[in-house]
Amino acid sequence: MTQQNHRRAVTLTNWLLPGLLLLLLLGIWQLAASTGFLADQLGLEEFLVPAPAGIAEVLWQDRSLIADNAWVTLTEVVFGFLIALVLGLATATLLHLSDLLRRASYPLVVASQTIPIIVIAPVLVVWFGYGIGPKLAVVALICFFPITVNTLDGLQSVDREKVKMMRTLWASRLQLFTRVEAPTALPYAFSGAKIAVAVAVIGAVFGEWAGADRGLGYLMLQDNAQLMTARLFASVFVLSAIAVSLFALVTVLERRLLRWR
Amino acid sequence: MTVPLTLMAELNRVTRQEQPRQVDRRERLESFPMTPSLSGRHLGHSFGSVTVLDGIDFEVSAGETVALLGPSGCGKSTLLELVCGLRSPDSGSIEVAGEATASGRLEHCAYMPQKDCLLPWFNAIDNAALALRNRGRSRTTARKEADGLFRKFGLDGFQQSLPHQLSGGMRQRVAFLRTFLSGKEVLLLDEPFAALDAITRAELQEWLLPVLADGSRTVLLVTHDVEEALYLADSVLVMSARPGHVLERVESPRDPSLSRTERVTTAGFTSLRERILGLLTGPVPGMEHPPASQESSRGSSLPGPTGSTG
Repeated sequence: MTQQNHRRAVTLTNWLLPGLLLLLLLGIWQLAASTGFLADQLGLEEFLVPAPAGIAEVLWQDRSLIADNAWVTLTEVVFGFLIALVLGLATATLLHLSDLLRRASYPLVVASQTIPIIVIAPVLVVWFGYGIGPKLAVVALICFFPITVNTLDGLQSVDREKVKMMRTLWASRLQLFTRVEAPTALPYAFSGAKIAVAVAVIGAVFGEWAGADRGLGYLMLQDNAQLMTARLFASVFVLSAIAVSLFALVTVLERRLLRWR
Repeated sequence: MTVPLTLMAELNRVTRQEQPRQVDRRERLESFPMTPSLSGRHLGHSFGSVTVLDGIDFEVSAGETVALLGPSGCGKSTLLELVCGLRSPDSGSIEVAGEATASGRLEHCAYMPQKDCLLPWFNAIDNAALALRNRGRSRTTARKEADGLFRKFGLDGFQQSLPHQLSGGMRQRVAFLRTFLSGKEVLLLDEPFAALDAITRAELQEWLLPVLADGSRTVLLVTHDVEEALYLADSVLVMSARPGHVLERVESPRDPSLSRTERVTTAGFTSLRERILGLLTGPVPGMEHPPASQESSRGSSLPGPTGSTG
C-alpha cells in the first residue's frame, strides 16, 4: 500500500510539476502576447509575436500540412539515427578490439564531431542532391559521435577481474565479448543513444535548410520568409515533441533491457 | 582439454553424500601418487622496478589444499595469476599437472577472484553455470547440472535471484560454485572471504571445509587471515613482505571430530597461530622492533602496508 502511494507520489512529481511549470510559462506568454505587451516592447506588429493560443489554432488549421512535413523529418531522424547506431556500435567494437586501430583512429572520431554541420550540409546537397540522402548523412554524422564514444568508454570500462575469471572458465574471445563486455557497455551505449536522438532533430533541420522541398525544416524556412510566425512556432513545437517522444522511447527500451540495474 | 572427472560423474558423487563427512586428508592423500600437482621453482616477478616475488619455491600435491599467507602487497595475487597462466613469470618455472606453458596451465586452473565478480545481468544459476555455458552446453543442460549443486551448497531457492538480491555470503557461495563447476582440477582462490563480516566468514569457512576436504580438487588459497589459513588448508606457506618469498611451510593441525569453534581454540591451533604471527611480524631487517601500527585490531588478521598488489 505504502509502496503504491509512494509510486503515485513519484508519478505526481515527475509529471505534474513539469506540467504545472509549463502551464505557468504558457500563461505568462499568452498574457504578454495577447495584450499586445510583447509586440509593443519589441516595436513589432502584433502578428509577428504570436500567443500560444494563436499557435495552437494554426497548428489545428494546418494540421495536415504540418503532419505531412513532420512525417518527412521524422523519417530522416529515425533512419539517420539507426545508421549512426549501427556504424557507431560497430566502430566502438572495432576500436575496442584493436589497440592499434584505436590509437590510430580515435582522433578521427573526435574530429568527426568538430565538422561544422552548417558548412558540410550544403556540400552534401551538391554531392547527393535534394533527396533524403544528405539529410540522413547529416543526422548520422551528428549522432555518430555520442554513440561511438560512450559505447567505447563502456567497453573499455570492463572489470579486469571479470576478464581474468572468464579466461580461466574456458571463455572464448567471442564469449568474453557477448557475456561480459557487451552487457557492461550496454548502459553506456544507451546514454550515447539518448544524447544522439535529442540532437538528431537539429541535424535533420540543418539538412533540410541546406536544400529540400519538404520537411519541417523546409516549412520553417518558408514560413520565416513569409512572416508566418505562428506556423513557424507550431513547427518548432512539433519538432520538440518528436525529440521528446524519441527520447522517451529510448528510455523505455533502456529500462526494459537493463532490468538488472 | 582433459578433465580428470567428467562433470556428471562428479556431480553424482558429490550429491550422493548427504552430509559431507570431514575426511582426514593426510589419511586420504596417502592413496594419491605423491607427484606434485602444482609446483613453482625459484619464481621471480617484477612490475617495472618493483620486485614483487623473489625466489618462491612451493609444491602442492593432488587433492591437497595449501594456503598462501602473507601481508598485503607481498605478491600473493600475482603468484596466483602466474600459476593459472594469466601471466608468465620473469624468472623460474611453474608446472601445473605437468604443463609448464601459460596456456597449458590455464587449461587446468580455475580462478576465483577477491571480489565475487558475479555478472549482474545473469541470475544466480546462470552465473554458477557460466563455465558450462562457455564450454558449449545449452542453457537447459547447464542449469540442470548446476541445480544439483545448488541444493548441496545451501543455495536452493536462490537459483532465479539476481546477484544484487543476494547477501554477501550467498554471492560468495555462488562465486565458489561457479569456480567449482569449471570442472578444472586446480582451484585458485584469492582471499575469497576477505570482504565478508567475521560471522559470515566463519560460517563460510565451515561450509567450504568439507568441499575442499573431499580431495577432488587441488586448491591454492590466498589469504591474510592466519586462522582461515590454518583452518581450511592442509599446510600453510608463510610469505614475507614484498619482495615475497616463502618463510616457512607449516602443517596445520587436523581433527575432523571437532567443530570449528573447538578446533580454533585447541592449544595446538593457537600455538601455531602465534608462531605464524611471530614469523610475520618478526624483526624486520634494519628495525629493532616491529612498528606499533602492526598491532592489528582484527584478531588474527594480518596488518600490512596498504596496497592492491597483494
